[in-house]
Amino acid sequence: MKALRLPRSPKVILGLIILGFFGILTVVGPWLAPYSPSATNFIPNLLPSAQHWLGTTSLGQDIFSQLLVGARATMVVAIVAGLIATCLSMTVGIAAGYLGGMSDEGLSLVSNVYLAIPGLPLLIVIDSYLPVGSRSNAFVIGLIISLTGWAWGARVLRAQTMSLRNRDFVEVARIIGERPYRIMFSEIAPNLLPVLASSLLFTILYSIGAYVTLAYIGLTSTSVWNWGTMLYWAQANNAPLSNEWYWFVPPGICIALVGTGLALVNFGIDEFINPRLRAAGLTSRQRRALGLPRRIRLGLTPVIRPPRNPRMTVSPARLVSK
Amino acid sequence: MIAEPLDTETIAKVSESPSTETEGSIAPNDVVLEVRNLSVDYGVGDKMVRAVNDVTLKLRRSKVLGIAGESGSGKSTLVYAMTRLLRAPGVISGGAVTLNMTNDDEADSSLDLVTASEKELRKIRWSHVSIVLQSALNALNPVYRIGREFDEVLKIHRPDMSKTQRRNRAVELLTMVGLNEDRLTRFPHELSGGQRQRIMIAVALALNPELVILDEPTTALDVVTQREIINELLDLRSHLGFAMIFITHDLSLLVELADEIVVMYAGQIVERAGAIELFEAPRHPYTLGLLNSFPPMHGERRELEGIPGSPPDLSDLPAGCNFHTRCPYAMERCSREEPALVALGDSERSVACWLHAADSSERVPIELSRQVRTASASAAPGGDES
Amino acid sequence: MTEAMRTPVQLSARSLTRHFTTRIPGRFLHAKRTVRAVEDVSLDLIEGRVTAVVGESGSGKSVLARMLARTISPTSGELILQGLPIAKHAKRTLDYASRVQLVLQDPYASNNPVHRIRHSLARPLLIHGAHKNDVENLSKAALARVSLEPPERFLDRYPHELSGGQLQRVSIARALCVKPNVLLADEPISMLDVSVRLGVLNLLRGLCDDEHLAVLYITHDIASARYLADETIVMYAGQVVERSRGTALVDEPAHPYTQLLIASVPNPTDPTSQAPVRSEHSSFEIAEQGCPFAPRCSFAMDVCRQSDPPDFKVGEGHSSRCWLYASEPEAVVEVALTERRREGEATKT
Repeated sequence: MKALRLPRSPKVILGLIILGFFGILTVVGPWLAPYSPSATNFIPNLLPSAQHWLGTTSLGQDIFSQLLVGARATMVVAIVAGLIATCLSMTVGIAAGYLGGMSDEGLSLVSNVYLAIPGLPLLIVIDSYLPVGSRSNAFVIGLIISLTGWAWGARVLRAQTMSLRNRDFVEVARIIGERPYRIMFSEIAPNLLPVLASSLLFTILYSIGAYVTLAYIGLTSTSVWNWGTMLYWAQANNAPLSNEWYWFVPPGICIALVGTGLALVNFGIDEFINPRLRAAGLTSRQRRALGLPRRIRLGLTPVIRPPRNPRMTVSPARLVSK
Repeated sequence: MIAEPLDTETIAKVSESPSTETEGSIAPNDVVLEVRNLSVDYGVGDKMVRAVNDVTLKLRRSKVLGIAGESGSGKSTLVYAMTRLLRAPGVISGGAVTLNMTNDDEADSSLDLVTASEKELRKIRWSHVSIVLQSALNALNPVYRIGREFDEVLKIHRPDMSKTQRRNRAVELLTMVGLNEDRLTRFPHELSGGQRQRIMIAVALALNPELVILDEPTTALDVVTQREIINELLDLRSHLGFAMIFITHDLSLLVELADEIVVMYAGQIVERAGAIELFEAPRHPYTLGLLNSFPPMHGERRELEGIPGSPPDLSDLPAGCNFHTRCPYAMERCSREEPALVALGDSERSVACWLHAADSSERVPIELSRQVRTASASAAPGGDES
Repeated sequence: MTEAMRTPVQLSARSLTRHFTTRIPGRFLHAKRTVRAVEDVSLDLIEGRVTAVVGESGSGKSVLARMLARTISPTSGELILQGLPIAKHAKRTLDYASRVQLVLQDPYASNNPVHRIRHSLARPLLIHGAHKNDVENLSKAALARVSLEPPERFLDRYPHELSGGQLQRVSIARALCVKPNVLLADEPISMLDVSVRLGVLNLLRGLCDDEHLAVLYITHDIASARYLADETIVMYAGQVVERSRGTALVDEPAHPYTQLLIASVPNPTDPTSQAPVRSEHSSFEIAEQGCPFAPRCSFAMDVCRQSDPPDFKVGEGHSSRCWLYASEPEAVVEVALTERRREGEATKT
C-alpha cells in the first residue's frame, strides 16, 4: 500500500477527532458509566446535577450512564452493518462491473430490486419475523440493516469497475493468464479503496440512522441500551412536552456528532480521490509566510523573490507581485 | 478597437508575394519577447523543486523559436510561467518577461508580464499573446458548437463587435486555416484531431497577436496531419507576421520549423543556436545525444545509442552539471561545478558545457566541434566542413 | 494429436478480418454501420525476426495486435500457432498465454499502481507454474535480462517511482516471465522520452536475437520501424497496403500512402522533400468501395475507385496493393469488369 499521507485538511482532522472520541467511548463506555443504566432506584426526573450529570429519567434511571453504555451498542451495530453491507456491495458491484453480460444483468437486477424497496418498511417486516430473543443480538440486527443498505454501494462500485475494466493493466493481467476472480479482487479492488472507504463510512452513517429508527419505534429489544432506545423511552414518557431536554437532546447530539464525523472524513476521502479538490501544493502557513493570497487564482501565477541559487539557505522571501 | 479583418483576397494577394515577411510599420528585427533570468519553483521550503532555472531568451518579430526537451526539462513550465498561466503550486521566483507590443493606434508599449496586474494581463492576453495548449484537442467544450468558441473569444476581447461581425470574423479565421465555414455548426467530437487543432490555432489567431505559443501542438496527431499543420502554421506566419514559440520533444521537427532552437535539460538551457547550426554542428553532449536518438531515414542501418540513464529527477539533481551522470564526455570538473551558459565566440550561439569553456584544458571531441556547412558555399569562400 | 513441430514460423495470421458493427445514432431500425477495422491481413511472425507494422491511428494495427494476442476474436480468418490452427471460437487458453505475450504503449497504465514491481513479476511466474520459492530469483533474473540492475533496487518500488523507460522494461520483463515464443509490442516506445527510446528498441532487438523470439513491432513512426525491422508492413484503413523485406519500402516506397508517410516525416537532412497538398478532407475519407486510399491519392485512377487492388509484386520480397503496379493494363480493366459484374449479381439476389 502506498504510504498513508496524514491529512492536512482541518475538516478531516476534526472528523477524525470526533470519530476517535466515539471510538474510545464505544470501548470504555460501559466501564466509565457511574451507575447501571437500567437501575431504577434513583429519584425520577431529576435535572442535571453533580451526582447525575444528565439527570434521571421518569423511571429513575441515570441518563448519563445510559448514554455511555448505549454508545457501544449503537456503534457496534452500525459498524457491523457497515462492514457487511460494504462486503456485499463490493462483491456484487465489482463482479457485475467486471463480468458484464448476463452476470451483470442478473446482479444489477438484484441490486436494483433492493434499491427500489423502501428500506425502513423492509427492515420492519424482516424484524417482525425475527424471534424475539435474537432482537437483542447486535450482529443479527446489523445483518438485517446491511441487507437494506448495500445496494447503493454496489451501483457505485459497478460503475467504477466498468471504468477500470478497460485499463491497460487489467488487459495485461488477462493476457498473462490471471483468472477473473483474481483480477477482480486482487487487481481492481485495491484501486477502488478510496471508493470502498467512502462507501463504508456512508453505510455506517446510514446504519446508525436505521438502527436508531428501529429502536425508536420499539422494534429492538428494550433490554439492550442504545441511543435509539433512550429516545424511545423519552418519547414514550413525553419528555419533549415536559421540556426534559436532558433526556432526549444528548443522544440526539451524539448521533449527530458521529454522523458529522463520518461526513467530514468522507470529505477527506473525496479530496484524496480527486486531487483537484486538494489544497494545491502550498499550505496556508507557507502562503502566509510568502505573503500570497489565500486563493491562488488561475491565470495569475504568483511571484516571489527568494535568493537566486536554491542551494543556498533560503532567507525570508519578499512578495513582489500578487 | 476592432482588429483589422483580413479578407481572403488579402491573404491571396500576400501569398503571391515572394517575400516571407509582412511589411508594415514594424521593422522585422524588433524584439517581441525578452525573458531575463526567469526561475520557476514548485512548492517552497524543503520540498521545493526548481523547475526552471535562470532562463534568458529573446524572440524577434516573425521568428520561430523552438524549445526542445524531454520530461523534466521545464519547457512547458517555462511558457506557462511566462504567460502567468502556471497552476499552483508553481510560483515564479525570479526574473522578468518583457513583451513588446504594437497597439492598434500604432503606439508601441512594453509590459513586464511577471509584475503585471490582472487588468494588464487581461488586456494583453489573446490580443497580443495567445497560446495553443498541449491538450488543445480536449480544450474545446464538448457540449458547445465550434461557432460558440469563436463567439466567446471575440465577445470577451472585442465587446463592441456585433454578432454578425463576430460571425464574419469566425468564418474568416476558419478559411485562414483551411476549414470550411460549415464547421462552425459542428460539435468537437464530429471533427478529426487535425481539424480540432486547426480550430485551436484559428482561435489563437483571432485577435492577431504578435506572439503565439504552441505547446506540443502536433504530438497527438499522425505524421501526415502534423506535416499539414506545420505547413499551415508557416503559411500563416508569413501572412500575418506573428512570432512563434514552438515546444516539442521532437527535435527533428524543430530543425525544419524553427529559426532558432533552445535545448533545455533539467530546467536550464544547455544550448542555443540557429536551427541548421544546431543540427549540423551541435556543441552540447546532450544535444548530440538527442540528435542521435532519432533513427535516420536513409543510409546504412547501424546500431545507435540513445542517451544512457533516465531523465533527471528534479528533486534529486546531481552536483555540478545536471547532465554529467549521463554524459559520455564528462570530465572531473563536471561533477563539481555547474557550467554557465556562455556565448561561443562572437556568434549568437551559446552553450553550457565545460568542454567549450575558454579555460578548458581538454580537447573538444570532433563530434562537438564540427563546422557548419553554409548554404551558399559557393558564395562564401570560407565555408567548409571539418 | 501430433505435437507442435518446431518451426521457425511461430505465429501465422491468414486473412484476419475484424468488423465492428455500430448503430447509427438517431435512426431506428436497419441503421447499422460496419467499421472495417482490419481487413484481410496476413502475416508471419518468425523466430529471431522483427516484423514491423507501420500505421497511423485508425489503421487497425492495435486491433490486429489484439487479435494476435487473442483478446479479440476475428470476424473471419485464421490464426496458426506453431503449425497448429486455432479454432475461431476456442477460448483463449493458458497455453496460448504462455506462448504469445503483449506489451502495451503506456507503461504507467500497464502496471497496476497499487502493486509493487515484485507483484507484477511474481504473478506471471506463479500462474505459469513456477514454484513459490523460485519466484524471487526468477524475478531478479527477468529484471537483469532487461538491464534493470541491480534488480533488488526495483523489486520493491511502485510503478510511479520508476521512469517511463524503466517501467516499460519492467513490462517487457513481465512478458518474458512466461517464456513466450512470440512478443507483440504495440507502440512500446511512443510514450517514452526520446533519449530512452533507442535503449528499449535495442533491448527488443537483443531479446529477439538472443532468445529467438518472434517480435511484432507496431508503430506509427516509420523511422523506428526502419531501424528495427526485418520485415516491414504498412497498414492503412485496416488493410496491408505495402510490405517488404528489410527496409526496402522505406528506401523505395511503392504505394502512394507510403510515399506520403515518408514525405511527411520530419527530415532535416532533406528539407526539400515534398510536402503534401493542403486539404481539408484528407484526414477522414476512407472509401467504402475500391481502394481505401483513393480519395486522398494523387494517382487515383477509375479502377482504384471501383475495386480493391490485389497484392502486386514490386520487387524482390516487396509487394504493394496498388493498381499502379498491375503488370498488364488490360488485365486491370478485366479484373475491374469482373468485379462489377459480380457485385451486380450480388445486389440482385
